[in-house]
Amino acid sequence: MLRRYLAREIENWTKNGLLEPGQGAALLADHDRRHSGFSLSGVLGVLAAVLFGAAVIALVAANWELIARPLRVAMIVAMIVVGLAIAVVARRRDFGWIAEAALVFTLLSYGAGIALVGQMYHLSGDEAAFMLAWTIGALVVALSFSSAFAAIAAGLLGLGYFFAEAEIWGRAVEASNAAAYLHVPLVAIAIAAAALRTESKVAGHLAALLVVGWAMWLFSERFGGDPGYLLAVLGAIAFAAGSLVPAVYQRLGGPHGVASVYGTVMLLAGLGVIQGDLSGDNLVLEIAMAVLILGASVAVLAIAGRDNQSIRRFAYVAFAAETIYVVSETLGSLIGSSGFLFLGGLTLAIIAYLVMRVERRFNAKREQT
Amino acid sequence: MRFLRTLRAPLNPVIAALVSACVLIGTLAVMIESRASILRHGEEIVLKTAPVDPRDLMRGDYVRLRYEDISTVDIALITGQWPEKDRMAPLWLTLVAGEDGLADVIEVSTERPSTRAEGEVVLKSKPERLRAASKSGARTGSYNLTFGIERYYVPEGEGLEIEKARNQERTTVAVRVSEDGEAQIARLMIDGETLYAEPLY
Repeated sequence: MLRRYLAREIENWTKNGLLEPGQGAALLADHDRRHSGFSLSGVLGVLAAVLFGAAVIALVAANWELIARPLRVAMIVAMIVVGLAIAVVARRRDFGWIAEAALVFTLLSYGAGIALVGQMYHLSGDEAAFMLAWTIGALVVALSFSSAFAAIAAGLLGLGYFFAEAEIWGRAVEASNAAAYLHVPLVAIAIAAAALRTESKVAGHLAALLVVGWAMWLFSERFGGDPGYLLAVLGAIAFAAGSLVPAVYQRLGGPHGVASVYGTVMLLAGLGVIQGDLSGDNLVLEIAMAVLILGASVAVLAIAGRDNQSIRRFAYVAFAAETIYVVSETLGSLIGSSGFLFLGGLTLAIIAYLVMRVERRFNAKREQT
Repeated sequence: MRFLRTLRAPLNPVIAALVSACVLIGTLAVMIESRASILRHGEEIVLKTAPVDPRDLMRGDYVRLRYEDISTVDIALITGQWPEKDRMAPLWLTLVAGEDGLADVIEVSTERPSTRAEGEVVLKSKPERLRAASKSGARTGSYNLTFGIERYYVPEGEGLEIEKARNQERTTVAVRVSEDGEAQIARLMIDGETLYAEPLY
């Protein structure tokens, strides 16, 4: 779809003299080189693998006693072997997507295998160990085969492992769980390595999410702090590094890039969490907090909004949400629900108008430069 | 950049498959063998199950189990060094078979017993939050301990009978315990008659 659109546009540009003859073909060739992997059949192949894998898990979960245990284990092992074998053959013949699909199937079979062992020996209450074993398996497959899908799977499973740990140990202030405090960042580093090796952006984001989650968890559990503060501070640092410190952002490929996006989301989300906890305590404090959030979203917009669409959008949303929150907190009880809806609508309309103006200015500036 | 090039160096898919197969299948094998070895070498105790609330809650294909003597432990009875700070730590239960063949708890401690007499079995609980505050003042309340033996997977439809017997307190479970205090269900019995015996594999 995209390629056809691109080809048509390039043809138009060449016709209008915007592109030199021959340049269009070079651009298309570059596009094809980097996006050769994407195809509908490939996506369907991976989906099929997920369904096959889910069928395997369902089969194990059904606990059919007709088949002897050793045979069940052997079936799972056979499925792992078959999945890996298909991946090898597909890699050798350059069917990248089939290899990815086969590896996804392998990992699902492996998860079913771990569940089967739990069922065979009536194990209970060890979800974290289960998820960790599965994550490590996915990491080994991702790193050895350099498989992007296995890396993404490892990222998702790593988050699952984190939530299993955090659920067991959550709310336990100063309850030392040194092992898990250490395991989670190690898993995150391994996922990051897999993301770099496979050049998977999604896996990279998952690794970053895991690190952020871990930091908040550690902060709230070990130091009894409100994770909102940590999130806001980390966000401010990340944003500043990504947008204001040339030494850092030049290494990340330019100002207002991914570090700034993370910074924006973390900063505004963190401030939001803090405000949510303050709720009802002190009106003056809350208003000050609201001013801070509105100010932060405008500042972010002013610094990085022109160059980064994601930051711009998130800042708009944060600004609008905060305004509505302030209106509801201050006037909500006075004016009743219909009045509030009317006022909310009016506020949003004003913000929409402002956003339009800001967008136009950004566009004008961009054309100047 | 050199680091990235090294990191992205392709690996022969055959080697990749061999490495993956060893790790995936090896992990499963280790998991299975660790359980089988408890069944093979562990010391056996018999535990009486207790009713589970809410009753008749059949979750998926397993029966939830609780045990009469060991699942709830009175904090006042716990011996051993109490931690200075809140801490997640296991409790160690010393059990001995009574005259009826069922295990009786003779000691619950925060420390692993260094010696044990003939016929005694030491069972380790899953980590429990030990509050420093519980040490001073009156140690009241109780812990709900788990041991990783709180589930029994059964063929579909057969769970209800076990649940009924469990709630009538007629179900007993034979558990094998490893040197390290880890427990593994070996047999499930109703009125002393074995309903399911676990094969090694």
